[in-house]
Amino acid sequence: MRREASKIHVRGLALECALGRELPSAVDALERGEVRTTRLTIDALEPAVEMPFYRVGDGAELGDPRRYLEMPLRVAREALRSAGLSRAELERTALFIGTSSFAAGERDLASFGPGSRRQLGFDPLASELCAELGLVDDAMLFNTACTASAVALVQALRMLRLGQARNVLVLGIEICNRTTPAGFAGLQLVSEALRPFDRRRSGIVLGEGVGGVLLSLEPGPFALELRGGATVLDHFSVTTANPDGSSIELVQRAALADAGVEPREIRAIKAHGTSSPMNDVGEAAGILRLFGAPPPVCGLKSYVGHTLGACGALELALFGAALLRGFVPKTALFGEPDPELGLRPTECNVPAPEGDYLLNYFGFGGNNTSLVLTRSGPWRS
Amino acid sequence: MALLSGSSHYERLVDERGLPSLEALQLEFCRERYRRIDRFILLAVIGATQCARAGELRRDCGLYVSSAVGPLGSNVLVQEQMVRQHLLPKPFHFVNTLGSAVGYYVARNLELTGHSAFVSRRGGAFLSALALACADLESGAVPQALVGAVDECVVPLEEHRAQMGLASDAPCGESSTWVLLEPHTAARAARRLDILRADDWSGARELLSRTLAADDTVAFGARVDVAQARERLGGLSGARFDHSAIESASRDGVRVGRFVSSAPRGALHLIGPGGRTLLRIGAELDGARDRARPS
Repeated sequence: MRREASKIHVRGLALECALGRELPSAVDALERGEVRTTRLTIDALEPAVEMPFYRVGDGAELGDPRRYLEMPLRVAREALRSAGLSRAELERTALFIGTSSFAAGERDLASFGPGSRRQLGFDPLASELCAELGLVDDAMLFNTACTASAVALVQALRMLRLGQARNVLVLGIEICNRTTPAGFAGLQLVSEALRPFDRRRSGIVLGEGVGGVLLSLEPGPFALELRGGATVLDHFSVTTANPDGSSIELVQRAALADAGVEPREIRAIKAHGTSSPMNDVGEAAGILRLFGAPPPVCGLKSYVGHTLGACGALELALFGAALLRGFVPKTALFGEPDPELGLRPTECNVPAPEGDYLLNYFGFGGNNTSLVLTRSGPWRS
Repeated sequence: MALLSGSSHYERLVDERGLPSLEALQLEFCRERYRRIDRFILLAVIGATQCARAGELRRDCGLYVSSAVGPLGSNVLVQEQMVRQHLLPKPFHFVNTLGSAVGYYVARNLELTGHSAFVSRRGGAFLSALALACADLESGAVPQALVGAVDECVVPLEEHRAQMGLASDAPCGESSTWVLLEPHTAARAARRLDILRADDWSGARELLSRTLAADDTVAFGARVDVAQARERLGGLSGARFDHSAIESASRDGVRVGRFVSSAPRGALHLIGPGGRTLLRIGAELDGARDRARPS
């Protein structure tokens, strides 16, 4: 079993999501168990498609293209501010971006009206972010669907361990566009309510948000370390992990091995918990295969929606902040256990002691990722 | 540092007559006829499999896919369905717009069960993927790494050029370049591959001056202002620069693919934006000499 030589600290944290536009207020809402959804209508389709949606309450029109730069920029600035980086440190901070889309939003724009066509890709966004933040424009963009920013966190962790960087800012970005909701509607995966591991679950509810996690060799105000992580390919199906749980067991084992942590040391699990019938079957089976009698398991997507490529960084920020406040959140909207799963998620907030926590992320394309986060003290800021 | 134990390179110019047929390559390299894949995925599966057959692939090999713009064809198709036809995207057209779909089919074709990442950037995606792979090999996170650079062309070319922001008469191409990397400790004669870091062009020049040898080639990656770069590197006497035209969006991948497949005597030095990243691929079968040098 391999254990890293140096600690990789979660030095900066920030987010914007349906629960709030600042980390403290979002954690307050999480602790209270608040769920806020709105309606999203795609009227460019015939017939128009309508669905619930977890949106960021920034007061802007959902289709306003300025949100593509402004929201990630606000989160990045807050993550860097919270870390207290010096100017010299900032100039040598790497930027990793995880998103499910190469150009969603831009491609919507590109298609509506002559003269509005813009180049595909998140390249312009990455360059603008680097310029605005004072970072060198060598940003890496990760595109592994729902695990994109989780994979970025794994790669950042490895780069830091090797001493190839001292600070890496990982941004998970998913901002409302028309293509992604339409795509999921076409897949018939969208539901009216997101109920992780519930017998009544029938699909996902999409959300938007940006999560920012600054990983560093130096500690900051957050008593959190990213202790390990792993990504493992699963070629059972392009849209779902193996329902027998074998591939999910494998990635969890790999993350624990990377962290040098035994399953019995895990205090709680942040599940991927999409509320899709198949995801929750495979994840429950994978957790039970590894843990037997698992520690508390919670899902966060009923608070923030499925934020796809953003969920790696966003849910780490939210879950990490909850741990620092001393609680593992209840799984909102869970009400009826599914006897076929054999797993009952948290139904109330439970204490979060110091120790190791497992975070799961799974994505289309058989891309499964698990992270091990360690809480070593209370929120110091 | 890593050893390059296998490679493959596919590159085609695309003209108004349409896309080149991949039928023969598909028959040769795909284990099954995948019904729901797009051309981007097919290019990746063919290239990755051809590369894997050139070496000894492990099932736990790490997979690193890079692309300048990703699955352009499926993105255009989904736009067509949504915007012009006002229809929901077809499920698998939408799934194919996600970067991870390509990793899935490569993994399925090669039965891979290891690490996987997909990185994109208009310039520098392949260098980024190589850097990630080399770091993971060095740390022992993966025992072997299969690294690819894939970009497709869509027709009509008018659509391709519009999406890519190219001039109306710009030549267009597609490519799929792959390398199989082993840890530098692997006991075999192979080209050595290094990713070196510098602070700026003067650092790059210093690195080059220490490693550049007769017969070596110097090339510049995407997003590099070649005239400015040459000025800042000035005085590299004897250096041979490769400025050959590249039609695919995977500029760095094509540069590497052309170099490796031409089996030259010297090494390749490919310099990324700002002179901050240098890819050096050593001369064939001089691993013993190269490995004696400090990184």
